[in-house]
Amino acid sequence: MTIEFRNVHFAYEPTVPVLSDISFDLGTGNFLLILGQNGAGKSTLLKLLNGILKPTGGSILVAGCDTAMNSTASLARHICITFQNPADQLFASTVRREIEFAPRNLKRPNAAKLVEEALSLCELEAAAPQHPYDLPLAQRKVLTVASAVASGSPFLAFDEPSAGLSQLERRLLDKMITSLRANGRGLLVVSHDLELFLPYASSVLLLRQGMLTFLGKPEQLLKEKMILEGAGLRLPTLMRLKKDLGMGLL
Amino acid sequence: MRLDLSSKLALVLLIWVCAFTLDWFINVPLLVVSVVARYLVPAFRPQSRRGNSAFNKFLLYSVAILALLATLNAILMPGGDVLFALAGLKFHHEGLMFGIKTAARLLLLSVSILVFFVSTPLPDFIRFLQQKGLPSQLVLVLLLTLHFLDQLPGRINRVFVAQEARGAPVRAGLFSRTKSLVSILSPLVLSSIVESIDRGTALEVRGFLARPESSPVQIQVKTKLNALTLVLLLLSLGIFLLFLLRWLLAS
Amino acid sequence: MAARILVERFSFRYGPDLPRALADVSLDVPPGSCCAILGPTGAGKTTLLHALVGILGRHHPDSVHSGAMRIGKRAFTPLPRDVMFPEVGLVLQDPYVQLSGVRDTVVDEVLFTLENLGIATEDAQTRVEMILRELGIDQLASRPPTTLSGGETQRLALATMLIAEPQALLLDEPTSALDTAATGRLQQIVKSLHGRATVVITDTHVEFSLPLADQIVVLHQGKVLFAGTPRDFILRMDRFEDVLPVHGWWEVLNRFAQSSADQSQAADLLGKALAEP
Repeated sequence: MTIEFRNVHFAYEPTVPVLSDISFDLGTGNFLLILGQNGAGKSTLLKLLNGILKPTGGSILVAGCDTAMNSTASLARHICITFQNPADQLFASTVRREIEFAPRNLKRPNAAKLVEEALSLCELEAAAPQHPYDLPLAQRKVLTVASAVASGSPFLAFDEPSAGLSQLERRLLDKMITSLRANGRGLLVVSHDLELFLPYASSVLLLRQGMLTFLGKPEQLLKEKMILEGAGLRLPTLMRLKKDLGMGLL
Repeated sequence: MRLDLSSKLALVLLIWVCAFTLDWFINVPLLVVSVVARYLVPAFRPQSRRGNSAFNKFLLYSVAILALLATLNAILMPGGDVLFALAGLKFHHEGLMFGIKTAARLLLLSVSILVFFVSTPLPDFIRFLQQKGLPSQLVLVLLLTLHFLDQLPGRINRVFVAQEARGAPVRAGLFSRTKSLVSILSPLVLSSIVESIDRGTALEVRGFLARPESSPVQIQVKTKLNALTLVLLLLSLGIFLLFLLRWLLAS
Repeated sequence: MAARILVERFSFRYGPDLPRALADVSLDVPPGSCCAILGPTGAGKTTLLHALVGILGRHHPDSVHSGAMRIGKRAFTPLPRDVMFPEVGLVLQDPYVQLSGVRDTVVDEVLFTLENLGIATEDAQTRVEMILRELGIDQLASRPPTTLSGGETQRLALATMLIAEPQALLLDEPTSALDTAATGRLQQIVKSLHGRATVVITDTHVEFSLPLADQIVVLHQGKVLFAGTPRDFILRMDRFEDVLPVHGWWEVLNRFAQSSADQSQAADLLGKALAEP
């Protein structure tokens, strides 16, 4: 299964393009890291993936479904997205019920199994009977990820999943990504956290003012410093130091 | 003509007094005048496109509410002549009049408040309240409430998007939407409460609650109880007293 | 003038039956210096900042606390009951929440702080323009605050505090909403505050605050695990692998150590490398 972006354009108003001529493919089992300064169009790209926004030009196919012709709720069968703020989605009285929400909506026949797997992968078994708001903020973020994982959708997309996480949760996210990829899920992550995600990415997409300035392997990106700087980004200090010292970054 | 906030508030008070004390044959024309004034009088024009759109949507819903109230009361409240019958249902004169009066009153109350808030920028309103010496705690509560209302459409949209992305049928038929209601309302309320607490803390640490009663900063907007405000307040008082007198004499 | 911050064996519970959010925390931050409090989410960093700014006691009247606190000449045993502004300024984690929502321009947003203080100055506007220039957002002076980016909003929030000339400035995870470019700009600004105000920064990562801090404190589950210089922290940071993302830094330190006389020298090299823009 693949996600196919073909010459995608998007604008809220005709004279103000937000995304211009974006093309890429992503298959299941792969991980695409989406980078760019704030305002580059990353969140817009995510919203185009599941039909929240419809492209004004070009086409987007998710597992063969044209996003322009399908509702977000129906596209959720193929791609599940979580956004930055857990407060915009948490509503259930227990962690378990929160995680059950997506597979129930999507009428997955193996919903119970999906929920248990998500609880186990995200190490939330002990917290399952608790109210989501009784969890610390970092764990609530992990809960939103778990909720997407339980959807059973072949593609998952996350908007800044590591923001606000502390060391314990970052390690967990590490583990989760490896496991999800190994299980054949396709992942798209929008993040500034190069240190955490670059080693796992099979490809990197760099946006600048709505335009695609780089699409390729992480190793290629690291060789070409100007590409990152051109997009208004820098390597984190740790990665820069490691590079200067000739240490492996990936 | 720039109407100062004291006069605007006095006008709202006058409309509210009329709505509760006067008969429908005055309230209905008053309602029409209020709606027309919002379009014609610069002081009552919305400050933003969003305010304009909100008011127009409200008007559309009002017509529906008026029709619904009138119809239900005409059917359910027997009394007076039967105006007509439709599909076995009888529409009574008394019920219809009661429905129209009630709807007119409700709409007059809500139109006056809505016109006030869409035509008054929040910063001006808060500044006005502070200069009138309202306690800072009360101003803070009002500010947070108004801010919450202002942010509500954006917040609703974000919650819709987040739940729809997990397959919730929030834009499907009525039954499906009703089922999804808890998953919309709950994060809406909880996230609003959390943000209000944080915003209140942020204002507190900027010394908002310790603000001195009169702040002689050069950009202070001057308001005072002017002649128009006095006239409006006296009118409100007069109408209310007349109503009281009428009621006492009738009993 | 910058104030000394002294916290002595401060403990805090949000309620009598609740676990300790802070346990025997002690801190001594000399005037004009910068202290970075590092720790995971839930360590108690924000609780400590709220205690210092004076809102903890107000918001939690049923709380239980012990210990002492002193900021400049004001001593509290154990907690301030009123907001300490303008002596102490707090910049919150979420920059958008800091905006008052009742001012139409960036300049007015900063002036709002002076209005709250009842400061009648004819040169208020000039002072505001100076602060905005210093923070690199003077070109945004007449823009509505809600149209600013995350980094610009964070700098505006900082301006609303700096205009009051606080003796102590507290920054709660100031980079959590920022990209790398905005983080770099903020770092330069905080560096320039050295000497003007006593700065306390809380952070979950080391990268932003390590080059700025004169002292590092590691907080975990309400307890201080470490308090010392950045150099000492670098030499011991492998001990904090479970609470802070320091693994990569430890690897780099060991690489520096391969070409240095000893670990101390390696720590100096790492410190210098971190401080480079």
